[in-house]
Amino acid sequence: MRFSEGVGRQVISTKDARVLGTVRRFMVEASAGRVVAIQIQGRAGADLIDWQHVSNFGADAVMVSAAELLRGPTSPWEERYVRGEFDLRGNLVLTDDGEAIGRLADVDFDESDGRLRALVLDQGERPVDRLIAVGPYAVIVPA
Amino acid sequence: MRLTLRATDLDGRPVVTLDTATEAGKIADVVIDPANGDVVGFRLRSQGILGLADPGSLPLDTVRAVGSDAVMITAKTGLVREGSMQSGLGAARDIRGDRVINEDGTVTGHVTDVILAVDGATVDVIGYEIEQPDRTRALIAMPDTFVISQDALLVSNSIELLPPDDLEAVARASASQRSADAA
Repeated sequence: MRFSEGVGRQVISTKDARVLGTVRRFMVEASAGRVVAIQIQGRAGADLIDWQHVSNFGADAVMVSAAELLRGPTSPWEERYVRGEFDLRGNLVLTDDGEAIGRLADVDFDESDGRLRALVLDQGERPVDRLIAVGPYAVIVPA
Repeated sequence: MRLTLRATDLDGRPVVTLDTATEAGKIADVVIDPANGDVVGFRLRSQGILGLADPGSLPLDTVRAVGSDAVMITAKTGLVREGSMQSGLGAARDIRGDRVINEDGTVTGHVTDVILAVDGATVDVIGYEIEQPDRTRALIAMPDTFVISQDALLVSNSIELLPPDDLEAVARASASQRSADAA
């Protein structure tokens, strides 16, 4: 699934069947090469849910265990991430040997486990199993 | 990734950290040890209002890769104060403008740019762009070791003047001179 398909999907609590909001942004941990949290639109402050609390990323809704598991950012990096400073889409993609390979249009990931599968660039796709870093200047990938 | 380029081509190239994917500055110029002609690192462009803040310098041993679009470093802590990198070099100065003189004592020209061979984190000076007395430009390839002083760069009488746009010819000539030196 692509990030663009997941954004906007409703997030529903399995505990009480309430809609908590919609998917706003995926938080990626570079070295693990996976989605580690989802930021939810419509929640002020505590708007992150860690991936392990996502019981199913379904075709129509994202099921999470309970609203109480929502949390706020816990590091300066996370604070900047939820503000959109490192937004993956549109960011420059750079190899670790200093070559620009394009702009990031979208990210393909496995919604069953959160693993990244490929970066969708403005020209073609690049399979990835991990990233070097995600930052304000670029997304850095292994050469 | 192997690249052959002019030192001035690096002007403005971003320096990006591998830990946080942040731009730590932009390259201003290459710093060369006048004692042996080796690259010791890079000066960064000054930034900020009036350029007053020390933009720092980048010693070559902190560079992980010089790429076609960015110079990669591990972390921003790799930058050093602008003066500290040059302090061990004695009279660090711009090599551009230096006279190029052959063994007969004839001036071949003066240096207008430095030709670099880059392979990942390895940066070698392999030649120079010179302006000849008749104002035409040419490239010269340099062997691994050569004589350079604060007064002049000494070249052989038989040095070949290469077309000013043919950087790959410099790379080939330098490689063959170095393999001949090694043999």
